[in-house]
Parts: sequence; C-alpha cells; structure tokens
Amino acid sequence: MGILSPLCFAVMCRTVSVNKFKPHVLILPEDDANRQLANGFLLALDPIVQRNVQVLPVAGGWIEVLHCFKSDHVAEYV
Amino acid sequence: MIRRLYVHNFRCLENFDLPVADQRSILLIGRNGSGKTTVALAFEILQKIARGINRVDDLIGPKDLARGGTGLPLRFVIEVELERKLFEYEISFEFPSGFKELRVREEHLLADGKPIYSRESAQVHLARAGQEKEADFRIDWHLAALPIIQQQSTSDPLFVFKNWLARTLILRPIPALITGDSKEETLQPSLDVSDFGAWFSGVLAQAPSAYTRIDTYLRQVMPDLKDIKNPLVGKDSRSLTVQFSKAEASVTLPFEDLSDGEKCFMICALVLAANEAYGPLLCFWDEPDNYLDISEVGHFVLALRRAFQSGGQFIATSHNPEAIRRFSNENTIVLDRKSHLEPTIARRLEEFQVNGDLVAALLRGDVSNRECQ
Repeated sequence: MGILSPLCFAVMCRTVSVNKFKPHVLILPEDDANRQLANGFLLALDPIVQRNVQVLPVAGGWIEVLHCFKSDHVAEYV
Repeated sequence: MIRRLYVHNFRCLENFDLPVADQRSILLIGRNGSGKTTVALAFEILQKIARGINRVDDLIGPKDLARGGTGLPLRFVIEVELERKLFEYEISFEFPSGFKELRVREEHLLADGKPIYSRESAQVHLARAGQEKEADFRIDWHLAALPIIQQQSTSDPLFVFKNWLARTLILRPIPALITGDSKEETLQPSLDVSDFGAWFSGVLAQAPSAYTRIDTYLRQVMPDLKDIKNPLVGKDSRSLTVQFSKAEASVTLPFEDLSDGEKCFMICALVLAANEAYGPLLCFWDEPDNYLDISEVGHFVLALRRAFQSGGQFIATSHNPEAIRRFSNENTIVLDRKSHLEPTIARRLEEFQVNGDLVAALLRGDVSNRECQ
C-alpha cells in the first residue's frame, strides 16, 4: 500500500465506492452464472457492507481468474 | 406491482406485451431505436391521464399511430395489483377520417374483474358502488374519463388506482435543469426532475421521517455530507442548500452547484425515501447510470433494486455495461426490431443462448431477437 496521492485523497473525500485502503472484497466471477450469483448475494447484504464489495467483469474461465488474480491483484499488494 | 402492460399501435409498439409480472426490478436493454424510451412514453401517457391531463390532443397525436396510422385502434392496457386487488385499466383511441385529432373509442377500469366504470365513445357507464346507484352520462369523446370521475373516499378503488398511477415515477433527469428552488410541494415530480425542490418538500411534508432515509443513503455515497436545508428565500419560495464538513471545516453549497452525478445521488435518495413514505411506487428510470462514474454505477443500481425488493417495482433502461451486469437473465428484457418498418419485440434474456460474458455478447451483436432460439 503506497502513500495516498492528492488526487486519490480527493476522490475518497467526495464519493466513496470501494475504498481499497479499507477492508473490502473484490468479486472476480469465473463466468456469467457466477456474476448473477454475486448479484443475488449483494442484494441480500446490508447496504453499508455492500458498498465495500465490487463485482469485477467476468474473467472467462478459471484459468483466467487465476491469471487475473495473480497479475492484477496479488501484484498490487506484494 | 404491474402484472401486465399491453400496448397496441403506438409508435413502434404493436401487439406489445411487456413481460414484467413477478419481477420487482427489471432492466430493458436493446439497440438504439429498439423502443426502450417508447415504453417509458406509454407509461407517461397513462401517468398523465391519472394526473388530470385528459384532453386527448395533450396525450397523443396522429403521429403516434404506428406507421402513420392503419385504421386500427391505438390501445393501452395496464394491470396492476394494489392492496390485494387486481386493477385493469384500458383505454383505446381511434382516428376516424375527417378528424383532426384522435378520440377515445373505449375505456374501462375494473377491480378484481368488477367494473368501476366503462365507456364506449361518448357514453360512460358508472357501476354501482356502495350507496351510489348506477349512472350513465355522456362526455366529450376527446376527453379521457378517468380524471373526471369523482372518488367517494380514499379507500375507493377508483382513488387507490388513480392515486397510484399519478404517483408513478417516470424519470429522465436533466441535472443542469435542477436548481433546488421551489414554490410549492409535490409528490408527482416531472420527467426531467427539474422540480426536485418541490418534490423534496412534498416528500418531507408527507413523511418527515423520510429525511432519515435520505440522509442514510447520501452519507454512504458522500461521507462528508452534513445536512440538507430548504430555507425560505422569499415570500413563498425555498431553495435547497447542501452542507459538507470534514474535521472542523465545512462548506455550504447551493443545490444547483452540485455536480450532475451528485444531483443523481440526491434523486436516488428521494426515490428510496418516496417508495417508503408513500409507496409502493412504480419507478421507471430511463438510463439511471447517466452522469455517474463507473465505480459508482453498480452500487447505484443495486441500491435501487434492493429498495424495491420489499415493495413497488423498479424498471430501468441502460446501455451501460456496469448497470447491465447488476441484473440477471430472468429480469433483463431485450427489446429489438428488425427495421423501422417493423414492430418492437420484447423477450427475456433467459430465452436467448448467450455464450460467455453478456456484455461481450452485446458488443458482438449476438443478443438479438433475430437469433432467438
């Protein structure tokens, strides 16, 4: 986690979607069926909790999920 | 909850049934010109009738007839379940040769299959209700009868239906027109929501506790929000101001100085509050994702979907991938037409064979009634 840039800070102050500097969940659906499952899950969540969850575009298969997880997400937190 | 919307011979909608029954939230998708906004226009005409606009020429014109007019009647039918009663309202228009404007051909309102009133051309028949006897009278055939029939009380089925239809929210906001100024109160906002200030005043006058709902939602999307005030700025006028604070610093902005997206958050908050305060409502929001940043679209749509799960009905149209992804196959309806000479066809997305990512399939043009299995 790096130092917040002024731009990043300004965005956080005005409107807040998922704040990557606070505990959050990113859902990376394997396929379209999993995307729809995630929607149902989010509708059942408390609205405040739901705002800490972001569903990402469908990866297109388990191999792609793994690849995307390693390249986009693990790399960012190492 | 709407059980059925049937439209015939209105612009691109011919023998058109919108499959919305049993769904609390529905998304309409389709290419430009496929008829999404025309569906909103159909709702708008019914809403206008309930709001008291009964001159046919103020509702529809000859240009609204499908393909310029074929001699067939133009018909709207809406079936809705309210207070455990099934209401059916139907109105049809015709355009006889030699006429300059359309006239009403038939109109009726039923509650659980029993007529409240029926009408053919100029002849209106009022069914017996309570202590009131049956009655017949004549009316100008260029006027819709629904707005002029007097209800007996607020529990009268006629009032229940008319009030629900008048309060439907059909929204296509234009944030630049929203100033936050108001001179009156209303529970019936305009299509562009330019009367947001009056609607805000109306909702809080109807249910002061609605402010809590508004505040709760807005603090989720704008954590530095402190409060919203609606002070008198003249003899009969008010103007909304919004105060933000962080640590010990604060700033108060006139409502009109908010960004377009922030004004949409305000509208969303008021929709959620209105559905609780005087719902259940039907909310038809044409492209709710307009003006929002991409990370906010999904949360915005889900907030609306969640709010209508326990009552009312939410219908949205969208071309935005994030908004489309927040609906599922069973509550996404695809509108399509082969050309400007052919009518719109509506089918649930689950009837299509979509391989892989839905948005990618839409990009490829694979989701089309032409390829429907």
